[in-house]
Amino acid sequence: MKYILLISFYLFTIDTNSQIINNNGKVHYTVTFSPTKIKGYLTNQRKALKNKKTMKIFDDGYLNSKNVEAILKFNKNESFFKYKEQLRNGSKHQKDLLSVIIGVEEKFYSNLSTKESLTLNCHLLGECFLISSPFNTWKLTQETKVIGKYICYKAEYVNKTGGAKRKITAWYTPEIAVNFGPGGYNGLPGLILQLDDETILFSASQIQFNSKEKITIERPKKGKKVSEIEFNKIIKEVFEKIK
Amino acid sequence: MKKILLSLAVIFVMSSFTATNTDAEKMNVEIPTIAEAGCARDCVDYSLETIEPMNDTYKRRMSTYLWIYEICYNRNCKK
Repeated sequence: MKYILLISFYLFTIDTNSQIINNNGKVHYTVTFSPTKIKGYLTNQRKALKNKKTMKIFDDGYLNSKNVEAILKFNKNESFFKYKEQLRNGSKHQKDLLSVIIGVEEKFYSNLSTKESLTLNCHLLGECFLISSPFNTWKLTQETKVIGKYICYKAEYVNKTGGAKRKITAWYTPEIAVNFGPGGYNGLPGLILQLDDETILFSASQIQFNSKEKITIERPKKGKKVSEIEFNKIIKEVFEKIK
Repeated sequence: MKKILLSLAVIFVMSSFTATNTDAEKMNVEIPTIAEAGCARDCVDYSLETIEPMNDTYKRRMSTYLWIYEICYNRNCKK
């Protein structure tokens, strides 16, 4: 059912005056677990869980989490990406596993001129961190597929930082000359319409260009400035302390 | 580092006091071998063990750890 919904999201509602004049726009994304993650959970991770009650918690988490909506705002040089937080069953306190794993509170800022890629994380370690990451180094391929009415090209890179090796697969369209994408991923010669990082799948559902609304993007300022490597090191150390 | 650990402890306690009607409660989760004394510590061990097979980044493992810890604490330790 989830995938049928996803396919239906591909039938974009697009502002037909899609000549990019001001390079202003918004892209809405639907966020789900990646099929790779679900398969990995069912074939490996689930078997390692030691009791049925725990399995039920994770089955519910992986298979019944509600989709999360997200929005990317951009202008010529900058982008800002954030999730729309969804509450489960009206509870203010218990999140779906999907919201937990994506870090639904995180916000992402990118600047093409300064080559800045920043993540604001205030929820994980009890204080705000402003995490800087290098721009992604993509391997472009000639493989194509159609998403909505756009021909998209496949790009990949392997991210070895953060304690897990992950293959990131993006589908971008050169027809929309915007170098941004969801979840802090950017730097491709076209807008990323779909991205799979082997855990999370981002799928564009709506694109708006040149909206009359002025899009102001502010660079996040608060938070302790750290690199992605330093932030991962802090988390690793916290784990060691907890143990 | 002390600040981070202290903050984590505050998150644990705050979440346990504020959370109500969780999915764990609905499912009547029974986490085995949770002793009266050191209940929170048992939840730490349980949560660490549970995320062990999770093949993902530190950040996502930490998020999941906090999530499963909260479920365990609310079910077993909250009076």
